[in-house]
Amino acid sequence: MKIITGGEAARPSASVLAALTRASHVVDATGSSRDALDFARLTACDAVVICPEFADGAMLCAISAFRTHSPQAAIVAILNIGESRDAEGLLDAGADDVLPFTGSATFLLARLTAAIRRAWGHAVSDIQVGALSLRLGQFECNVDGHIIALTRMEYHLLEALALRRGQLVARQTLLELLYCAGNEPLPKAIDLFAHNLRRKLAATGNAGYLETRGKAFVLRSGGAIAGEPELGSAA
Amino acid sequence: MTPGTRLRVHAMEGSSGTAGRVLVIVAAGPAVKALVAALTRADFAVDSCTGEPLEIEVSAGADLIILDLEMFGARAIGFVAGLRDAGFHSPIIAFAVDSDEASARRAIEAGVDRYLAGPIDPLQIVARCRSLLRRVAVQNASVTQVGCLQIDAAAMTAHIGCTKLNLSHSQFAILEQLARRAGQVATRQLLLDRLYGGIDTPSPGVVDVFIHALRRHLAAAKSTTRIETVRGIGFCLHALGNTD
Repeated sequence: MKIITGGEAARPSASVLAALTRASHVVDATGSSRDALDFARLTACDAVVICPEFADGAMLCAISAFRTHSPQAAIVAILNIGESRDAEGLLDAGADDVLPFTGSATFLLARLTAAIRRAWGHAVSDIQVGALSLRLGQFECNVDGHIIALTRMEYHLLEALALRRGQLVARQTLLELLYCAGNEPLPKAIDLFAHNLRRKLAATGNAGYLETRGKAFVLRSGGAIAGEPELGSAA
Repeated sequence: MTPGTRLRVHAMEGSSGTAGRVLVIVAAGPAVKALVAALTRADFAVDSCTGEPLEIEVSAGADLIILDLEMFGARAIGFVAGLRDAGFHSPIIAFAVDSDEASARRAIEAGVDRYLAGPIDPLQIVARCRSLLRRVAVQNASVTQVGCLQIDAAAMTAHIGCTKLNLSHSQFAILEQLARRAGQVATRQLLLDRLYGGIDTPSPGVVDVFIHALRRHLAAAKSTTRIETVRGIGFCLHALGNTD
């Protein structure tokens, strides 16, 4: 998943960045919470993780402004132990979760995954698309119980589309989700990953999950759903 | 968790619940009274269960569940997983006074959305309820219903009942604009601007081409939702029986 981080509180910020990087998330780190929120308005991401030193009026305004601009991306705030009094203000301003800094990477990653999956309308981390099943953050994908070996980038592409299951996602958005700022991949990189994914899915006998429509991609159950006839033809 | 089982709940009296309906499954005590009072003040409709439910009915209609994991002991994770397996997809807030991170992580993996450790903080739980239900509202906002026609703007799909319409991008864009203004007239110029963004706009007659195609799709699906031409002005989408 693509995460943008930033914070004024040095110790949580450094630990968060290390934990996300070790878990192979795509991470863009900025110098402050405000910078993270501002940067997230310019690029696609799944979540913004901030470590504010104070939940003052300016911070709450920044969160509200970001929430208005990007209603979908999750915002997770990490506070030092003992700063829980700021939690309600952050939540009401638009944060999805506020958690104390415990130093535990696994706990942070679990809470972050829960916030992101709920932001995209999923109740559990196992996302089903027809016979395809993907477990968020675990680099696991299987079709009808057969595990599919994916490269890191193929998995990130599949994860981004699975979170947005059934929605058209533009190629440019996928480039921003799969690469850190500063990288300049060729736009065709997405098409290459999509081609490889289709080949691996087709090898399991299940094709048609990954559709291309113009400059966008969508992940949905292959073909028309049984009993659901499609009428007419596209003009 | 046995499928098809039932939870007996009683509704709190005197709550209108415009903020949403919350099911509180918490051990009896002063803390739960404070929590219910705080939720009620925040305009949530609250159903509460202060003993471990032997059974649960998923169709109870709760917008959100607040769950005391310690009430279930070792069966807590199984209870949460059972809720999700039974088709309950609304948010779950769980808390445990004495908790460890491993239990918290397992609860989150089973389907808990927010996990709180330590004593109940009613104000923080209310804030989290608002935050989670705001999320659900964002998800639901992408779907528009006009009679039997359902349009999902995020998925870019249009259905007449269970029948999916196979629309082009432009046809979908026009239908979505008409659906947002169901019952009101959308001018040709407005539809053109939405399609082309005011850049290299073709002749307004192109809208009529798309409208003709949409009418064919709706008629083939035996839709009771119609596109009406308002001569000299534009078009109006309405469900039959809803015209003045």
